[in-house]
Amino acid sequence: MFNITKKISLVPVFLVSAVAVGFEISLTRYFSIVSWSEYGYWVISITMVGFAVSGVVLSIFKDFFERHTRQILSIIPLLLLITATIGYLVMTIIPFNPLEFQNPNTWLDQLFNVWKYYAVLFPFFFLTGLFIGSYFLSALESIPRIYAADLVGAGAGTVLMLIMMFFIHPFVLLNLLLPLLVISAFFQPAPTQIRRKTFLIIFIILTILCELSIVKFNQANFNEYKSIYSSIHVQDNKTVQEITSPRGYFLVLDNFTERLDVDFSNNATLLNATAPPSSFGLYKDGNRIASIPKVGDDKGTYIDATLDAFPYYIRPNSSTLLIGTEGGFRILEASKLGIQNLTALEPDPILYSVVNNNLALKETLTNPSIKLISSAPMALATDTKEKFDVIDIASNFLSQSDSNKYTFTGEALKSYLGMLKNNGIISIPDSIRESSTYSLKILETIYQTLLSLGIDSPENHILVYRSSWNARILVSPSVFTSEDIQKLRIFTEKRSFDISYFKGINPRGDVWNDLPAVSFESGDMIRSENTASDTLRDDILKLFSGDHDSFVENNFFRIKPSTLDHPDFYSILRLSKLKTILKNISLVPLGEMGALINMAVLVQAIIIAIIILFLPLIRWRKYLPSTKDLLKPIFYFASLGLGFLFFEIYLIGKASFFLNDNTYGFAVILASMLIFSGLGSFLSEKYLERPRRGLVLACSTILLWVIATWFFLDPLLLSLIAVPLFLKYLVLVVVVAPLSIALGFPFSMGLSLFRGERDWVLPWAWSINGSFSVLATPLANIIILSSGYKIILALSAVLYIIVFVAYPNLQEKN
Amino acid sequence: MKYIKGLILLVLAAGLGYSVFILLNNTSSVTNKVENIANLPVAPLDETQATTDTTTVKAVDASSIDWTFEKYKTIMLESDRKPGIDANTFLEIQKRKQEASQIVDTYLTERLGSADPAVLRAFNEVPREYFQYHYQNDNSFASVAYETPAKKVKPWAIGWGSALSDYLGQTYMTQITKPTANDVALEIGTGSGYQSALLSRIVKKMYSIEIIKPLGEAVSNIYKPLGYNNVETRVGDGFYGWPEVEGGFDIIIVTAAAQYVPPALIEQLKPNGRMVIPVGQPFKKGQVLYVYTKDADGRVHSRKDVGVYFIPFTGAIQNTKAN
Repeated sequence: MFNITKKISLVPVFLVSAVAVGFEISLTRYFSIVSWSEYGYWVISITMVGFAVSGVVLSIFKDFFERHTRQILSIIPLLLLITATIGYLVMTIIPFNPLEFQNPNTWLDQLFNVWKYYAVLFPFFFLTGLFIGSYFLSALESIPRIYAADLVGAGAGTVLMLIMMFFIHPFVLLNLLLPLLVISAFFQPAPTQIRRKTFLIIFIILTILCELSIVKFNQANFNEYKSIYSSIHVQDNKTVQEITSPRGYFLVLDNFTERLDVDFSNNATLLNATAPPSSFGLYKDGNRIASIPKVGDDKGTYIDATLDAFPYYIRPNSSTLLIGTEGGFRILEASKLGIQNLTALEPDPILYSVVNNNLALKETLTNPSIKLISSAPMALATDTKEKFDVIDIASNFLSQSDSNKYTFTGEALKSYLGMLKNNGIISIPDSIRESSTYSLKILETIYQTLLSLGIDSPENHILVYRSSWNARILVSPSVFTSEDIQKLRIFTEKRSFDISYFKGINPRGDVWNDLPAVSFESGDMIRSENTASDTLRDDILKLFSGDHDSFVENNFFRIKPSTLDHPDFYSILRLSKLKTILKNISLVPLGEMGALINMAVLVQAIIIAIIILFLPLIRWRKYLPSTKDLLKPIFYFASLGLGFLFFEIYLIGKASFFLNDNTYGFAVILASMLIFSGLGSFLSEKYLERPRRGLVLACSTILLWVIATWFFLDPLLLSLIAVPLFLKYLVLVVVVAPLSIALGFPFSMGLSLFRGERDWVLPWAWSINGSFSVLATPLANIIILSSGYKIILALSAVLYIIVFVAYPNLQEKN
Repeated sequence: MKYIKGLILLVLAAGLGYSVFILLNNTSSVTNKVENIANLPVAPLDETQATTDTTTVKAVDASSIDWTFEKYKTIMLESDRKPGIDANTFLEIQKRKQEASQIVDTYLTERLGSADPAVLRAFNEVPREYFQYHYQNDNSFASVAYETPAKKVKPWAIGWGSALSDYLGQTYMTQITKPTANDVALEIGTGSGYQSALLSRIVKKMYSIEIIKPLGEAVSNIYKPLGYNNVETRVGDGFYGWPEVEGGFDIIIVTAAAQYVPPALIEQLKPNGRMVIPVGQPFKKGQVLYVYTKDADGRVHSRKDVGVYFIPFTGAIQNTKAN
């Protein structure tokens, strides 16, 4: 048996947990910048398997770790320092190109690169798990306290990273964490073979060397296929501004390639329009998110040739709401097109700041009829009584931030309609470059929303027109008149754009910009010989026909409406068609790759979970209890692993909507849950002698919380969406606290059961919990993508009922 | 206990050794990157300045080249690049080329009804191995040129964010521009130079503009040793096209990152001219092509062509073998 002592410092656990979570967050930022975030998630999620494997190793080699606990706990922080540094530096030279995953002839090389990432990152996370697991085993009576220190340390690490991201370049965040490992050494004895003072001096020297290495030698850089790469490497490029923030790493570039990127008619010369003006380019994590106007560079003659201009012709001199400003260009354009007054929303505080401080907009923004507000559209809707003629969503708004997807939900649409005058227009953009299916998804959202508002024939309230690259969907509470349609005809004909829908459109009308259908199933392009076609027009006519339901149900893609419960814009793939999708992966739009990566991670996580479940059982087969006694801890700890993460992912989704920001939503929920769960674990110590009472208290609190959340959370968040930010944070913490305290009880109470003869089960239980935590994230993401958030909430409740039923010693204690 | 002590010593030694290694490794720091970028040489800001970088190629007729390993080695060195292969590998490449040629023939026939003899001739004439070079890493990947069978065909990274597309896609794109011997063509985005080399074997005159200076300068040196005397390249901004060329272009190929085609390019496209715009990320199995045609009134019709997406996996192509 392991030594049992209560005299143990919790500081090292706290610090090592803070470093582990901090490193994980810094890796998330790293992959967002050098690659794409979804691929980073792939690498990081599987690397966290290190925790689970450490439990298996502790369980199988229990005797060894039993004999050398002190040495292992002393040396691991030093090993963490070295593995983190080497792992990170080697990681930066792996030539990973995620784009090659979309080519059946190149993906295998990239899979090898992912495995290289695993190889270099695994040791750090394995050692972290080994450290915390050994701590549990070295002080069995203090499990609740150790777990509390572990969780609170992880929460503190999250907060620390969040704050430091404002000040430190994302590629050197690890530097901040390494000194914490040295500090941890001061709270532990040195290995028995070496003098403590000598050990600490060596530790400090190595830390300094590691710090210098990361600053000076890491090769982290933008992926060469990100949009920033060519721009940053052209001659005479200047980096005008650099902003480090938890929201992203922002760069403003000035070079000859930077221009306003707007959908522009091919007939510009015939229209006497000049080319779109040069600009600064604003990049977030290497992706171009906006053009920023330059002083004196905007003659404005290009505007007449743009796709987005039509709403201003059909509703001239309008009261206008802009959702997103294209870096400020839309404010200038709307002003030139003629408006009565203008309210411009730029929800991202960094974009808001860049636009608001731009000298090219200074004069325009002093106009009293023009307002620039840093607010999310749905927040404005609850906060204003103003009515608009035109609500115009910027064409790049969706791509600027993941939380902007809520702008395209049915609930959001309803709120915009509430802000419109009777004959007002909402103008919604969609890129059809990769697929026109997203336009159908938006149209279905509009269709169902209008029906829910009591409008009998929604198709009379919709116009769709397009270029080769983009579509614009216009919606009005009033029926579009023949005069409106005639104006659209003239507008599109002059500019060689096409009308894809109005009520009564000729299904065989001439097309300027051919848009043929592609069959995903057969891989064939469907086109009438020698005539240009418009698959968007054809599909809309089917969508608005009597066969609406069968068209939606039988479509290869899922074109169900976006809602707050099911908000993901890029979620058109059906899992039932996975085989065909993988066969034609080249056709999959880039935005959908996240779903496929989730599938890949899930498959790997299931394999790992199976291995973790069975390896210790083979090793300890002589000591195995009855099947019932064996299944109980499996169900108990597996349900805990899944349930905790399901709650976390559910709440992160809700917080991202409420705060209109994914990063802060993630950070507030993660930190609050960890810290309050740590508190819960600490409190659970009082119930170790009366575990059933503690478990009843925890599980009933969780179930009550789920019931209350099911009915009241969404209305609560919607009603408070316009309150000041600090109040929003407070609301989230108040919502999260009772649940998290209750969530902190079952894990440490469960682990505490395995003191004594069956102490090999303890690390095994720790590893089951870890491996199911890995499995939980991709599983939850897939369920949310296909069925929405509420199902995750319901499943979490079911999992904690299983926890209650499967508590390993419940009946015996009774 | 002894081995614990040994482990500690080993860890310390490894850590110190590693630190020395990276201290000796002379690489740039993250914090310096922004400054380095800002210190790059000044770029041409308009078409007038851009012409200063123009490189006119004057060399022997391509058809006179006897394509041997010695010749390959000589002209690789002449164009300041490492040959990267030996004589045996060179011979293997030539064998694969025969098979690749048949694959192209069948592919174009399946996708477009028939293979343009001029395109096939160009494919046979241009040595693709000469263009398979990673410029940022300064190494050749000629050894894997003409990958076969058809299902193995793939794009290759060449550095600086540029890619050499797969040869089926490139021959497909060449054929749909409908090139003829009297045409003048412009390419925006020189990349590896292979696409312009293919077109140059058919058209009267080929112009190509590359935006990244190190890549554009390196590739501008590779046409002359090969004897392609009708190719002109330039480093600069493709947004303005090549306005000095009187009469405009019959063919323009432009890699579009933006949501529109620069008006100058549409202006420089001759009536009845063809503009091909590949869109989408370069490593997909194929790309969507927008094909713009300009009518006599100066108005543009666009066609979306997804033919290069689909490299058939069954039937004649897969079974094609070299003679």
